[in-house]
Amino acid sequence: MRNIIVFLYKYYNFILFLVLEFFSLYLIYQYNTYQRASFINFSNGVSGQAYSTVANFKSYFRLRQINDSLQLENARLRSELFTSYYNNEIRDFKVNDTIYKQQYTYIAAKVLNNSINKRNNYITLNRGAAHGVKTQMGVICDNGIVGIVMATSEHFCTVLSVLNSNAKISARIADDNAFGSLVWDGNDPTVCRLYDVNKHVQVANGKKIVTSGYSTIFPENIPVGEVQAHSLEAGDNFHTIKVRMSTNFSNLTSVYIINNFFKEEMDSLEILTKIKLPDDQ
Amino acid sequence: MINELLKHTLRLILLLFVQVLIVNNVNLSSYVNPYIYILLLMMLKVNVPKWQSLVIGFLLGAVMDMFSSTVGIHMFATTLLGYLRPRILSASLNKEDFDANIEPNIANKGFIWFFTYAASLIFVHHCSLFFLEIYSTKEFFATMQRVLYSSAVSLLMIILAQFLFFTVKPSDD
Repeated sequence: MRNIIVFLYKYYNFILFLVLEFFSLYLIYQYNTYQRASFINFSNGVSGQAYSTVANFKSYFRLRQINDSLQLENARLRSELFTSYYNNEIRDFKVNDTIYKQQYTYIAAKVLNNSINKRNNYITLNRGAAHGVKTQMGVICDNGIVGIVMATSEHFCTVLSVLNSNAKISARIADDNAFGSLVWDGNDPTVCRLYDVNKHVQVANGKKIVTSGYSTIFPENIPVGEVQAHSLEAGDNFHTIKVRMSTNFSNLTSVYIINNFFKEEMDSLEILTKIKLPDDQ
Repeated sequence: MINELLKHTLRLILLLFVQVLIVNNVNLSSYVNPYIYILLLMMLKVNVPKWQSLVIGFLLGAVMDMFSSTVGIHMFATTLLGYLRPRILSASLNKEDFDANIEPNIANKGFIWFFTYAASLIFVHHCSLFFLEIYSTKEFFATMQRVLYSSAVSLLMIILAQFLFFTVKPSDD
């Protein structure tokens, strides 16, 4: 017993070191297995406040750019308004719309903090649980995809940027149904790679890439980018496609968080299917 | 003691301010992500007990994790620094330095000593940080490049900061 105490006393620095390091590793491990540590929710509240002060200050310098992009988007939205369509319907009667049920709503948000030069990049937004933001919601901007909500606090949320080694997004070639997964390789923030597109698919430079809609995170046909280069190694079954991203991550300011009303229903159904499958065989 | 605490708290705020609001926003390349906040740990007095150095490292990492939306990676790297720092100091300083309880900066120990001290600590920190960030050895060479380029830039910034705040005595020894 005495020896143990002497041992502990002699090496207490080393033991403390091990305890602290194992605690850090434990947190890292938890984080990587998508078990959200409460730490990140707590820290969101603290750092979010600091970042929002700075973002307020910074946004002043970008007013002109923001105005331009808003004007563009307004023009686009105006052209999609009901009034800018010619009504081709001959019969005119009122229906209780049971065919079209709203599936997506969008929450406008402002970017408080963003990085593009790290291997794993994250974005902080000024919307949180109080505004109905939940984890695993998609985030887009006016010209492309941005990321997936990773953690929320009362008034802020952290987004896993597409420019992150943990992000994998289901995308497809626009006029083809061939789909693959979009991953960032960590070099150029304007270029991602699309993997797992089968070799029989015809790929050409300049073809548009859009989201596939196979996940519950992004709706279908949100622009992702266009094919910049593609190659097919001999003996390989899949194309390697370089995609030039349509989103400009270096000057993100206003984004939209996507709320999918059917998400829970779809996810729980898919989980059910996964549990059931082994029983069938 | 209170004075020391106040001094280091101010340093912490200043370093965090520079790190989070300025350095993190400078996009030189995806291979260059300097981290200068570890200067706080590097410049603790030489006689700070080992356990304090560990705990300060741990807390510093926790604060940095908060500001970078990560969990544990900065904590791990700075705790490692907190463990290595007293060992590197006791291996490279002589008895008078410990008796005088000096602050290991460029003014007290000269350029060459500080350069080696800072370079070794920065390299260890960046190495553990970048490899934990990617969490695999798949991109080993790309990550190694990141470590080297970022370490070089961090070292440059830390040494420049030393020249900014301290006057270097002529190296006669």
